[in-house]
Amino acid sequence: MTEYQATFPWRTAIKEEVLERRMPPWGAVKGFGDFRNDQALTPEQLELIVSWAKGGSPEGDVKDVPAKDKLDEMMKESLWFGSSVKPARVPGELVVKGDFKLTRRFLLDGLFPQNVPAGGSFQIIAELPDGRVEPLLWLDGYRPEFTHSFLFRTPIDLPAGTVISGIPPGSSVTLLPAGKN
Amino acid sequence: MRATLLALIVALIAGQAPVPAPLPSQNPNEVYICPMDPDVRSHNPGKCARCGMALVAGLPDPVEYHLDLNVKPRPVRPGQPASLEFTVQDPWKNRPVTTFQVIHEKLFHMFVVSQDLEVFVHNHPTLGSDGKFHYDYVFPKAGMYRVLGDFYPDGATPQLIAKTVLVPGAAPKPVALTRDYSPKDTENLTIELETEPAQPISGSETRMVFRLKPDDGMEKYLGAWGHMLVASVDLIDMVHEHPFIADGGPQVQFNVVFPRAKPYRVWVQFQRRGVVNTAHFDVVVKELGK
Repeated sequence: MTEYQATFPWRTAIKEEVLERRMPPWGAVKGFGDFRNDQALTPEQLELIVSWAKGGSPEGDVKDVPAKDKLDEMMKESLWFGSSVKPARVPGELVVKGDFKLTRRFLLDGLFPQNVPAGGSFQIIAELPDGRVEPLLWLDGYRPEFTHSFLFRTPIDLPAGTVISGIPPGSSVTLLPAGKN
Repeated sequence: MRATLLALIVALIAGQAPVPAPLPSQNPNEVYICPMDPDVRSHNPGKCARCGMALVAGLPDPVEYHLDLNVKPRPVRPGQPASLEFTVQDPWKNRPVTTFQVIHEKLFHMFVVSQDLEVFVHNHPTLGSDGKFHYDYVFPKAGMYRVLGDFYPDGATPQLIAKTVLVPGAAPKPVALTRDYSPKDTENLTIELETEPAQPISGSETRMVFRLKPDDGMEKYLGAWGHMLVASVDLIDMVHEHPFIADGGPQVQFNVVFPRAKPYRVWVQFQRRGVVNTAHFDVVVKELGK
């Protein structure tokens, strides 16, 4: 659906889906962890879509529509069009369940949650040996189709003794290493 | 649906937000837009009638900047002084951003809300010679705090970015909000609330009308007749609003779209005779037909 005429009938559903954060299919709460592949809409973008829906959903100016090659490029950059959701196995990755204590230092590049219950809402945190508590990932209203990696903007250095907690029963999270660990 | 969203965003980027009928101006093709309220537009330069910000021609496309929050000491302890340091970076090459536009009389607005919704702070970190914003604060209790930064990098659009601080210790019990529209007596005001519709619906506009007593002496606070922060009970949704209708009289109207069917706490701030009055109300938002 890339034409205005096809999009218009969905205007209310689009507004509701983005306000409920079911679209884009990202799944993480903004501002709890900082991700370089963040697909969540900003408050400004949400407001723009709501205003568009509320204001009669008018058609834009055709001269402002990106060229097809630019549009193709945007689609490739989008997580759900351009990449496999399941990353290839990475040497040094750790699959963790429940509360997991690191026995060695781990430079954390990202997280890949699996088997998350539909509608699940939980916060994954890192409790460091010095007492710090770092937010890693907050999933809310999770859906199986959201399954993908969450890649940190900058790797997080977790010393030995760090406890990763907040993973719900039955779920697992792959800790993706940054470079050499 | 995914393609729909992308198409929508492309269409929105194409810039078809409603534009009022042309007004007399020197250049009838120029459109001046409020950076904070982009639906406020004019063919003439001037100030936004809603928030007072200068209207800008050629507003750039909205792009989210990076905001890093560094809290010291590490770990931060409840009841102990902490230093908050905010660093802004551009989204393209992570270059530090050190020049900002004034937004409502300040370079940076910071909101802090605690997990139990009992703590509310609206204050203004100061820009240091290191290009970072600094603020000293004592987190009063353990648990999660959401910190909202509101700033306007030069050459960009205003940014509203949430961060999270986890203060070690026993977190407060989850709160259960019920509707509370009762009048609030603050420093030198009584603030009453009425909503239209009476039952707010998620995804639809709710008009929140505040009646202020006594009805004299109202002043703008930070360039606006009022400020509002809306937070969902789970602290996922955080919305910063300014009055939609206000003239310095005793009635102030905010228009709010509550994103989800959840309870929300709404803080409002009004200034009267040099005193800032802060109050909160609790709004239970329902889904249409439920």
